[in-house]
Amino acid sequence: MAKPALQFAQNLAHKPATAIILIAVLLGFTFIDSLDLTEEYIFGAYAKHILFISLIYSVVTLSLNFVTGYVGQTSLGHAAFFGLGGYVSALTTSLLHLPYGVAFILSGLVAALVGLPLGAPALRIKGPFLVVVTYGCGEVFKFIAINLDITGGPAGLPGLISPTLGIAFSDIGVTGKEAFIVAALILALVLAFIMYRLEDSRVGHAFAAIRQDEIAAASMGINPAYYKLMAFVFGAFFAGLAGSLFAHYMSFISPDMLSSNESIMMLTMVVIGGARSIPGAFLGAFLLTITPEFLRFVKDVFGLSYDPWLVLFGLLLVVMMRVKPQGLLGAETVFRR
Amino acid sequence: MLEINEINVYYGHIHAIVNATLHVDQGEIVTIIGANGAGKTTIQKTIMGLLHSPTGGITFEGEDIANCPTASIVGRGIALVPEGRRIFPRLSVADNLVLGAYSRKDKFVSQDMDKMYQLFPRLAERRSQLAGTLSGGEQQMLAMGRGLMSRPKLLLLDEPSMGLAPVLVSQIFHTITDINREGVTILLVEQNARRALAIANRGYVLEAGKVVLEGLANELATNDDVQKAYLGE
Repeated sequence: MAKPALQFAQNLAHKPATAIILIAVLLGFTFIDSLDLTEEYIFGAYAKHILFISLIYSVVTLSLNFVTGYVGQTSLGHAAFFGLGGYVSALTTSLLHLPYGVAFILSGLVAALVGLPLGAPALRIKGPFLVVVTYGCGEVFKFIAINLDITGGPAGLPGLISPTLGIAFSDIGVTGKEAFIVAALILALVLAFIMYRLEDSRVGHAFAAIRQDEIAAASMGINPAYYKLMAFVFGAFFAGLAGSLFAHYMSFISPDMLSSNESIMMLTMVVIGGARSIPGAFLGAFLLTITPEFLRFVKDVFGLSYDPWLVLFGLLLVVMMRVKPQGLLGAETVFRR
Repeated sequence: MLEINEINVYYGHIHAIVNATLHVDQGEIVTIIGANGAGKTTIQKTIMGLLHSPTGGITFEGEDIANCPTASIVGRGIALVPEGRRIFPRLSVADNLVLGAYSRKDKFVSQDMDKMYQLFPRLAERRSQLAGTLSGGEQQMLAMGRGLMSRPKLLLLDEPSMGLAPVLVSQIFHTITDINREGVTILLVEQNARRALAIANRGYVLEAGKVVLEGLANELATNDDVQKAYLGE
């Protein structure tokens, strides 16, 4: 019974109408309080905070999906680009006093530019070796941020400006989070649209060929190195943009954003949602953002002395790998068995 | 057309190809026969630029291709149908053929796809099926069709009869002759020496990375050593 239900959910998730309805629901959720219908806020700031974080991680998950899903390169260092985007954006606005728009674009470009040399080792190594190298690169970024003065050391950089579009994002809406939510949603949708269009394109075919058989792909005249680098740089670009928006939403950035825990969580979102599935990336990001928040209440209500999330997280991973290694909405596995 | 001059290929410390010299002329079917691990596949991979020889040279139509990237070698008109077919299992038959034409930018790709479907009618029936669901023989046809989609002047075939039923083996060898008659030069690597020598013009015998014998195919087929070692007589 579970199988047909899951199949049904999978088909439903990949319909365009579903996407439109979900976007409408999200926007309704975001702006219902602005209508001033009731005495108290219906959702309030906390729920909107969770929504924004979920959307930012959706962008990050999509961008990592590009690397891990499309060309099959497992990266445990994706948080490095996310954090790098944040730091670039923070320094551009606070040190150079440039407008946020410039900082936003710059954060993506710098992340992509740094992704280029970091992507190079990925051309020579695969599988577990690549995981270790990307993990190491991520750690290096963290320690650079901790030890430099310009990045504020372990304490990070506080007081980042709010993005402005005529007026500051934080002054729009009743909670000040509405404009950020819309910006994150637009970013996620743009990336999702690019990935959707890519699937049936020449580039998409090349990705599929490289993923399935690199030697055969090379024999067709496809240059695997070129496409792998392209995926890496593209993924880094969007992770950088997401990092910029995230940092300015928090108005604060610290080396925590670069931690390996972040990278592991990002990869888990890809795997749980399902590789190369666009709705899957959203599902993975929302599920792994909302569930731990929800479990915080469970902890308080039952007066638990431990955080049930970590127990459940471990269990979830084991169960997923046993019963649905291709992820909830994915068609095939990321990891070959 | 293709001149390979004193190449040496190493896998780490293993000397896989030792001073191999061979050539393929326009319009020929040339076969390389030899036991498992003799280096037949290695030679084809080196021609494609997937492996490199620190010595000697490889020229195609008079131009040095030894240090060219694989993509540009495909662009010059050499295609490889690799050992074990290596089709893209999770793409449709049609998409596999489209990928074969990846190096081309002309408008005749769909026209050539129709040609492939004529050459291999089974593929036409299954064009929208995932390639991984095809039988071994159909996968071999698809691999050959995919190779031909780049409009090669020289087609490298690596063990096209591997793992196929005898009826299919005959069919595949027939098709190879047909393709050759259409003007495609063929370098065929085979363990099925008898079959390979029957359709080839010339042949090379490879042993432990060395070319130990070369000659006209019918001469090799009647050579005592070849008969003993590869034809089981």
